[in-house]
Amino acid sequence: MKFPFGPRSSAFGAVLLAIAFGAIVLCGLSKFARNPFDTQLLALLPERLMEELSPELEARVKAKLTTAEADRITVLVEVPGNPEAARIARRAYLTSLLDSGLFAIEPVENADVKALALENAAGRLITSEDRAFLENASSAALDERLAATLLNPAGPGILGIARDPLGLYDRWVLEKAATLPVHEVEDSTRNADDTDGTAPKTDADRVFALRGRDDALVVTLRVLSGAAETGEGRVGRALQEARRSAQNALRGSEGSTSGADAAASALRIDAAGVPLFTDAAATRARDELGRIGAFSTAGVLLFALAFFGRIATLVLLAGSVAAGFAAGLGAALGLFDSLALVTFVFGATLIGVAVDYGAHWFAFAPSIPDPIARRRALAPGLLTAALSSALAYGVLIATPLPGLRQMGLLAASGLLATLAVVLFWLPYADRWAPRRDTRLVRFLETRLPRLPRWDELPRLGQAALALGAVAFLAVGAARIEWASGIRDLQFVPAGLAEAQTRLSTALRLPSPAQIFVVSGATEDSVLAAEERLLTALRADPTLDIQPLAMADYVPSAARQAEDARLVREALRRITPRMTDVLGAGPQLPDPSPEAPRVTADAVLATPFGAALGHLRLTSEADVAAGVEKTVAHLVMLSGVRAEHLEKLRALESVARADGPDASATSDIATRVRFVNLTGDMETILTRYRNRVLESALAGFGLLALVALRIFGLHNAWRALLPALFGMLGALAAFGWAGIPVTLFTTLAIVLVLGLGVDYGIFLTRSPTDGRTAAAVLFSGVTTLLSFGLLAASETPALAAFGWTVVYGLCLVWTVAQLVRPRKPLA
Amino acid sequence: MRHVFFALTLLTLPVAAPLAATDTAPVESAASGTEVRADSAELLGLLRAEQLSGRFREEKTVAGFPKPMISTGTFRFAGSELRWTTESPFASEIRVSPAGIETISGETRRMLSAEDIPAVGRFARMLADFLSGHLDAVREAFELSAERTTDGRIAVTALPRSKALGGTIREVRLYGRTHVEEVVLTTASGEVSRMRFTDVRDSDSASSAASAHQSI
Repeated sequence: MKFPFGPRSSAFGAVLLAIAFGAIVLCGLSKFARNPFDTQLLALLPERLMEELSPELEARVKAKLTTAEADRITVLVEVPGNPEAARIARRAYLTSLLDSGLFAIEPVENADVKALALENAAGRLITSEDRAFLENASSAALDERLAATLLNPAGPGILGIARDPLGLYDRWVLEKAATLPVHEVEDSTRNADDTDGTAPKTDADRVFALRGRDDALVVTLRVLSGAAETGEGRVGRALQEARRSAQNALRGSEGSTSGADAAASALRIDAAGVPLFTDAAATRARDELGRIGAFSTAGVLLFALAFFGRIATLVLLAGSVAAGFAAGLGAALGLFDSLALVTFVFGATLIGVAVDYGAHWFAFAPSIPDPIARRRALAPGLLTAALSSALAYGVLIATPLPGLRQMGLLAASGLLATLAVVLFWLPYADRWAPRRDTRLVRFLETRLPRLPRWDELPRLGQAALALGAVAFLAVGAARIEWASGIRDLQFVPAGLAEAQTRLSTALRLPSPAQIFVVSGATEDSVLAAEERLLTALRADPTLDIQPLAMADYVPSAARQAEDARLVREALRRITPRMTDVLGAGPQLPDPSPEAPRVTADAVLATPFGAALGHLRLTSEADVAAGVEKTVAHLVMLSGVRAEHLEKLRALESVARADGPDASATSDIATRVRFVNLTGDMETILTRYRNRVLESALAGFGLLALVALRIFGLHNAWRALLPALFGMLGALAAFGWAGIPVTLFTTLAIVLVLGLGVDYGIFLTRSPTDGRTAAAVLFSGVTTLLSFGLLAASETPALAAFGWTVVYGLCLVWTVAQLVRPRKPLA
Repeated sequence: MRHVFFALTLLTLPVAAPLAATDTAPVESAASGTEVRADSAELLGLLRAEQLSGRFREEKTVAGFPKPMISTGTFRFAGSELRWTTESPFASEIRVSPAGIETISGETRRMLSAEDIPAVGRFARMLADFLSGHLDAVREAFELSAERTTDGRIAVTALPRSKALGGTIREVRLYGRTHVEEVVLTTASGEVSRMRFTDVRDSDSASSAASAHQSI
């Protein structure tokens, strides 16, 4: 084969490469300056999850679910059986957090009664209990209700006696308030520093407790921008410091030592919220970046020093990898707006592979001193190796996970860039190449060819080995557990996960993973569908789920008209009595369809809007403006368990309109869709896990054809068996270890395939060449030093990747040595 | 989490207008302290009673209606519980205690629990304190002044300290000699409720004697 890179084209290539590298790195740097590493774990998630929704609606849903609470944390401070101590602990905890300068307390506005006095609420917003009461109420019962409203000194009278003499709207508001899991309580500790009781009451002075638990207090805080993303663990440390302050406050406040210790030891503080996960993830990623990257680099460099014996060679090796890595990073940053921090951690392991090219280059320097001649000799092999590795990484680019796509691009472009550096720049730095072999190389060169071969084993040994291998594969395969790996994407400290679960249960937090999306041509058709959905959901006693829906606050036009009719009739019956007592009757609601009704816009403008705003995905105004095609609402659910999922999905059909509705005349049908984000993600991850595994097997099939062509029927198996056994053996090892095989395992399997085929081909082609065997060993060790170290990651996905490479490459190297031929093939 | 935020927001709503307004945060301009002139302080203490019972007549104007609602009945205050039994125009009983406010009208019972809504507890205490003349207790929320009227009665004026309370109650006036005989409550919207007490029996001395006897 004629190699195109002669001395003249070499200089041209080196200059061209320098220009290209400069442009790529500059482009990447400019983007990095604007948008540094993304520590959000969502960066690793697929872009399309809810395939049953249109892309626009899905984007809206994700935005609503992910941004609404991104900066808030919620804390539960408990001292069981001791409300006073709970208040002392809460105050000290809150003061410590606010003093840290990382948190701000959520202001709680004092809404006045006018804000709740909805213009058209009279007769249209009533509780289901009152609806049932009015349907069957006697005149005496109505008079009693009138008396209770008129005479009650605490009657809220939000709409006034004239519009709401039966207090129906007051009861509706109270019912909504009573569904809340927390309520405001007195703060007995407030006057400790305020002896005359006249100090203004701040947001921090307002104490909220779990309903029915005066000793369990809830605090909601906002984490100031950027505080959680530094990777320094500032938020976590501030929470720990605040916890100590709370304990110290209890010890200092109680009279007796035993009482103080009892209160301090009974104190329980659970904190949860997105910023805490971000803080933990950023801190861990930063730690791992330092730890894994440093160990990997140090290990590879030390081994390389022992291998080549010259510091100058090491500097060149490191320089080639650094230049290639910078170009890969520049390319990845250039194509993506920002890189996930985990991508960078993964990229650090690239050093282990990229260093191989320089290593090969310098390993052959003593035997081929002329750099141009050496390049002619090595380029085909190195190019094949780099392209196969880049292709193996390229599989990552085809995955649906943005974070993995970034990893794939960074790795593939980084490897090819490093090879370009080796082929075009290193020939000009050959004066620093090693001139003679080190003791390690000489040792490996003589010892490695003496390793046992399959062909030299006695028949009994062959049979025992084959039987052992088959048993290992069969038993391991039988024990393999398959999983989606959905929870492997992020490392969640056990305490944080437990606190999140406790808070979710105690505060009945809506699940961000299971929701209904209701859409239709008009807001009213959507509300009517929601009402059907809520009725069906509440009719099933096995679905002990609390929904949060707009329709509970904004009834459909039909229901409002029906209720207005019912209330009008009741008020008509109490009119004589009211006239007798007050000289006039009440204002009767108008039940006609043309009468103004309570609208979603009006309710969202009240303090209820704080709770409901995020439920409205799109409005009629959006449709009218042409921004959206449909009106859509979310219905959120709390208390969802696995056994509910089937029934919830079945409600999709129950909630569809039975007869013609407002949207029947429109092209857009009213639709109710149950979205199970966790389930959808699991499905997608499982699908891609299977696809990646199928791709690896298909790739192996293609390589088998190539091997057959190169080595013939009798020897192709020697080149193929290492990779095949490496892949299957790594999977079996997971079976033996009882660790589920996930997408991240299969992604590493592709890498094992790419590197395994390289080793098989090298050793089958040159089975007696000690220098080739040493280079393969060097490559294996450096790969293990980098990828193998990923096994130490606390992120399960990265650890699975690392373990797969450890298992796979050890098997690949062992089998490749074992099955190599006795003499070079003809 | 948003649910929690919602909770925090909604729980501050004045679900019962006079209830939530009993927040004790002062208006800055009105935060002139709780000093009461010595003669006022003396007068304020004179209306205090531990137990009280009698008849009432309440005349209450209601916005949007031409004539005031006039109700009559009996009341009894003992300890920290007040029973307000209306005979006309409706038969009804209201029980005010630190636990909350319960309204019983025939078969209709309605309980506003202080445990659910702390403002109810504050309001219940305030109501009981005003009627029993325990004015020291309301001083945190109201600026008090007292004077002798020409007919020899003590007249107490209570003005809310906080903006929130001022948005609901404009003024409370009490009149009496040895106990509260009349209460005039004016709301921010201008509705006036005038309560007059007759046949009042103050069993304070009897109760004090009984407790003194027990302690011997």
